[in-house]
Amino acid sequence: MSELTNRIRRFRFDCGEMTQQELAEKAGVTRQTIIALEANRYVPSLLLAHRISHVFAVPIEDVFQFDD
Amino acid sequence: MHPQVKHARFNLIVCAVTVAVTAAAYVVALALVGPHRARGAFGFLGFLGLLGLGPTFYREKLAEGGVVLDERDKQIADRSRVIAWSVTWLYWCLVCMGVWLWVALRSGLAALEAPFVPAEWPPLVLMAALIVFMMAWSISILVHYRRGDVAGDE
Repeated sequence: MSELTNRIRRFRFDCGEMTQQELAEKAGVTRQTIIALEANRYVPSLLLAHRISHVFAVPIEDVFQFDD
Repeated sequence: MHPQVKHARFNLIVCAVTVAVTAAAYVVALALVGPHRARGAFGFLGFLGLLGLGPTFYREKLAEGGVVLDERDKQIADRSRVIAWSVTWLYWCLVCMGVWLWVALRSGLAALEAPFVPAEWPPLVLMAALIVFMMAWSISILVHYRRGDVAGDE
């Protein structure tokens, strides 16, 4: 089964230990959604994935990986 | 706590309290004043009007200027609405079948040609449908948030 994983937590700490709340505000979502994303319990829309990668200033495929 | 979770809990409490108070009042009135006047206890269903206060749970977040409902919250609300609608439809089908069964059992199969039900049934059935929908919607929302709301670090 295919699954979308991410490295949001890793990037948060690489960006000066950014808090979940800070990332949520910058990405325009609630903190609960960041929590769900980091736990791989929620698959984001393409728009949200783009906004999150934009916050970290990295390509989208660096943050989100599609595992077969 | 997320405002949508507060809203769902509030809906559940209002529905549960309304059903409990109405049922208790009906039972007490039945013993005191008989079946006809006891129907006045159904007036307690008016407590369901409190469901209209739901939007006040979002005012605090709106005042802060932050995100109130993001894409995940809307997805949860939409999924819960579909589940609640399915549950309500099942309830509705069972009620419709139940009415015919009630008529047949009470008055015999011949009565099915010209069936009748007590006048207070239609509004009660509709009120019950609203309660079923709101409870299913609220429970589904709480379950969805509970699944995804794992403890996160700051």
